[in-house]
Amino acid sequence: MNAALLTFDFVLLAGLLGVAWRCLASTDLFRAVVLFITFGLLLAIAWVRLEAPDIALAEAAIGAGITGALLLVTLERLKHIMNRPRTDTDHDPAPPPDPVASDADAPGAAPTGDAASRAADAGNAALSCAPAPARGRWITLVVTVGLAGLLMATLATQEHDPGLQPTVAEHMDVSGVDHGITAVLLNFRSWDTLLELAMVLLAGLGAWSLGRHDALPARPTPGPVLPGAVRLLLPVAIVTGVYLLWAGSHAPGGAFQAGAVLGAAGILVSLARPHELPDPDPRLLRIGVTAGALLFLAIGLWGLFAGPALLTWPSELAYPLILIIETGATLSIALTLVALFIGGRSPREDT
Amino acid sequence: MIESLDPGTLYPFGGAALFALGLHGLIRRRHLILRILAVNIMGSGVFMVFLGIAARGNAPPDPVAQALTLTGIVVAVSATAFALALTVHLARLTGYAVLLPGPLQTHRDSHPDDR
Amino acid sequence: MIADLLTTVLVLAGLAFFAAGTLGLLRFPDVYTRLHALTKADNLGLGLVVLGLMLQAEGPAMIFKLALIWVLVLAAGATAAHMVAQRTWTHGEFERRE
Repeated sequence: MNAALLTFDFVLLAGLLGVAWRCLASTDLFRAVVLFITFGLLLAIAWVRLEAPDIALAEAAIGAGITGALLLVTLERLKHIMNRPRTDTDHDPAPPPDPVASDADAPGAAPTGDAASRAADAGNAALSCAPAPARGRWITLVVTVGLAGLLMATLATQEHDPGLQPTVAEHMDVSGVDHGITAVLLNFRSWDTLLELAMVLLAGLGAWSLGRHDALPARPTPGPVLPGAVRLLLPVAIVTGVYLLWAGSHAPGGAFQAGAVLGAAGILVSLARPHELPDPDPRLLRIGVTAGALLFLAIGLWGLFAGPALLTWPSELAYPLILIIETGATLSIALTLVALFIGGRSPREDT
Repeated sequence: MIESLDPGTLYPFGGAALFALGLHGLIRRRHLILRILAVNIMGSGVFMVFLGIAARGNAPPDPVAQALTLTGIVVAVSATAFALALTVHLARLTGYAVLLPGPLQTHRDSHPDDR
Repeated sequence: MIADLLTTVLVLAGLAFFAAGTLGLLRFPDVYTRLHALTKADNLGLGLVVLGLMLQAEGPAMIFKLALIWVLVLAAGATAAHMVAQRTWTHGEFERRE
């Protein structure tokens, strides 16, 4: 049994390294992105093997799913930008593509014959990257192999340490929840989580500051299948998200996984959009995006003045407070992920 | 020997190898998308070292290391999304998704073949 | 004991279908046949694996979750296969590289 598991570990690690290598050595960006998504899914299996089901959930939903969607839509945008005839010599940043124009080349009005294949060729050329030049090959190889050797030597000589697991187990009764990771995230080390929510918020604000959003360049082929599937999957995704949020207090799950599932549902809706979706009210959107960090901070400050200390809660109130914070965090993470996928502010904000 | 190769011992080595592989890609490839992928693979290597060490021994795995990794994954996806937005913006300004030396305008009409 | 044996048989049969689907993905010449092999064989393979795991489930909630996973993968797989095929149909033929 042990030998079989060991074989599995070796095959999995070899697969991970092989997929990562093929991904980084690829000259075709689309292939690299697909291999990266595969890498994320294999990584989720590795996390299960390392007894980390929470991380495996997050990796499959965020690392493979959301990152993959973001990468694919970025490739479409790059293809769109690079295929545009570049005759304008002014230094102004090019205006975002006209939504009306991008509607015209929707697949419904697909060009036929030569034009289509030429456009496809140009698109593929925009999404390729020449292999790395031979110059400097050996020095890079020596440096990275040396670094890997040093890291492995350090890891091999490391003393075994039980870590913080006994400490966490000892204090679980005051944390307000029954799941170690949620207790660490939202009680023992709530600073990390607050800063992480701030980081998500900053990434969203950074993307918004880069300008107005253009229409998503690629539209799925019209037809009843995708809207039908979305109609089927959306309620399930919402129930799953809420279930994960609730399950986080006693089992693998929590705000990040729930936010990722809901964000993925949002991305699916914005991709399928059987009819053009109206832009959300900017004020509501801003409140939603900042809700997680602000709610967390407000409750943390309440802890400073009325409770034990900053970002600390009395143990009898810990469960409801953690649930409130997690709900806000789920909402913010989901909205920010969808906003990052759509990219940029909505045009309504400028008016 | 076989008995000592539990996942907690084996996977950190794999993580170190992934980190080095990602670093190699980061140095060697020029396209920004590939560089973003390389940084993500380096990050996955770090997560693997973390979780591997957390899973050592017979006790339940260290929840602090797992919580930090969970935080790290969400931060990684945010940073990746922002980097991708910056890449699209750069391509919109210069027409290329690689970092070229010098001010932006000089590259606007040049066509380096190592795109 | 019987349940364990059945689980082993069902999961192994499922894995055989997965292997066949993967073989089809690697060996078949174009998008349509590859999709055909992958979706058909993998859906059946996953069904067998899920059925095998249901025999090990601890309660009705677990059985329901496993069934839900299978249904969702069926829906998502069918949608994705349809979209890949339609995209290939409207945007020119798939060309084999190498």
